[in-house]
Amino acid sequence: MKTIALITAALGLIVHGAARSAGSDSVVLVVSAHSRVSTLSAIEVRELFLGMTVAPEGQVLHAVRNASDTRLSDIFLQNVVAMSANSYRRRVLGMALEQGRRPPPAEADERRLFQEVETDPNVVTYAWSSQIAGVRGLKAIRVLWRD
Amino acid sequence: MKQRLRSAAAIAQPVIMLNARTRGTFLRSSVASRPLAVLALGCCLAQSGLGATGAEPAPPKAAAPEFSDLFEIFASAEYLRELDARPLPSRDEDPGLRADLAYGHGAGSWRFNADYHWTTEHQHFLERLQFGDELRPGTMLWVGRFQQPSSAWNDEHHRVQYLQTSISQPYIERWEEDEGILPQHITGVLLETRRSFGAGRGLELAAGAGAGPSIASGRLAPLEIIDDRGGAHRLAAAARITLRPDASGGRGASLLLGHDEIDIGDPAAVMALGAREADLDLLGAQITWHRRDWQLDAAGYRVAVYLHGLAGSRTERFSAGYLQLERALTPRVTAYGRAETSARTQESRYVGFLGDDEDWAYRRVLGGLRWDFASRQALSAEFARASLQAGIFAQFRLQWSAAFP
Repeated sequence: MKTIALITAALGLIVHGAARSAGSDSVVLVVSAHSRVSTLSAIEVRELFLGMTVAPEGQVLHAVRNASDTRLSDIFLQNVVAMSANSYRRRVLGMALEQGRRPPPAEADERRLFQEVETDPNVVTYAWSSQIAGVRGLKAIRVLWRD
Repeated sequence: MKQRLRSAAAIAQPVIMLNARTRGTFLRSSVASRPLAVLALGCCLAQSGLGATGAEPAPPKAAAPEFSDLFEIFASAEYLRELDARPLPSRDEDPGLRADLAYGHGAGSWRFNADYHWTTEHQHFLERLQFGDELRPGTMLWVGRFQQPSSAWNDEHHRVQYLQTSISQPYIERWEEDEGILPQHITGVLLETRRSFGAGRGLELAAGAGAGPSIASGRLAPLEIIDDRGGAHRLAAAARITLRPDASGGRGASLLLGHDEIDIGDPAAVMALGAREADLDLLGAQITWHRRDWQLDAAGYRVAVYLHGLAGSRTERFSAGYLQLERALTPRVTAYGRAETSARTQESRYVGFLGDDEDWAYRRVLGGLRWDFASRQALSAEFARASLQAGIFAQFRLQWSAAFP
């Protein structure tokens, strides 16, 4: 009886833990597993997605927005750039006009986005941590938002 | 350093040669060396990193060339209706069609920027033409024709209607061809740099110097890259220093400085102003602040114009400023209101001549709504009430604006 009770309690704890992690997720900054970049500060992340030059250790990075998920876009606007969609659109366009280069593009096809990140060590994007878990060619270098 | 100066001077040669086609005041004796001196100063400042410690090595530039092309078309169409029975010869953002073609090219750290402006009111010219080098991340050195960094409004919105929430510009920020009273363009050298410090704060500097406008055909006439007929273009210098509580964020406070030595070649202007030269000094401040759905933009300018060159001389001083408040009612609809005011502009012969006595609004209040729809298009409606010499006038504007692709 005691053994059964102990096993039941242990199973209960395992199931409870699994249920917690299934309900919670986080948004992470993603680069290629081959990238030399190990982390970026919050300011560097914002500058990157506003189209400014960010070059840690001489490696010029390029941002690509993940447009595959509406909720992801909302989290990006609120927590990374702290702007509304309209403000972000206009600010990025203004920066592009000032600097004479394209604003950070957006990719709605997540598979294509992850392929681009895997093959180019200079590309930076963001994604749900659950979706890059187990993808060997990608690594998360910063948590941008946690549920 | 020497190599950087040589390459920068080589880039500046076409700009200096363009200046030579004017009536040469800018290139005489003591003034001739100024563009190169400014260029050298710009290189020194950029190389110093503006606050980088001596122990900090300069970050290397991009290891491999990367290419980036920007091509945008901005268009707008505006309808203006006077709400008073009396006709008003207003040139404030005349109705009609406008387009701006913007092209940018980047290769590694090198940049090229060009904007061409066109309207149905026969205004078409090269608004900007700039060649630049990103000396280090966050530091750009440009050579060419650019907008003066001392203008708070125009530096943020450029000439693009889609980028500004309101339909009309503040009167003090009007472009030269729209009876603007402040110089808005320089052809020369521009340095832009930004640094982060402390707890995520940012400091930005933009400083430019070169050939400024003259007064010709009744208005300020900046140097035109194509077919310049504006007379002699003398020294202009402008700077903006911005402190941001969150580096690269939208909020911040700026100090604005400007100095323009303006040749008055227009006989009508000489007679009206009683001078052949005007030295204009500008001191201004600007604040941008936003919180949740609210945004505030405010700027104030104090201007001194020293008129001389004929018998006698005098200095005219005046001030002008505005405050614009916006609120996002929904993710796509924004309401805004703006109040503009000025002091001593009605007494100024300089303002009366350039701004047009009949057309200069020494006070104005306006309010409007903007609806962003489709991908990058907007419809706006604006009601304004302006106080002019001739009385108080009310106007209604409707505008469509867009950015393509």
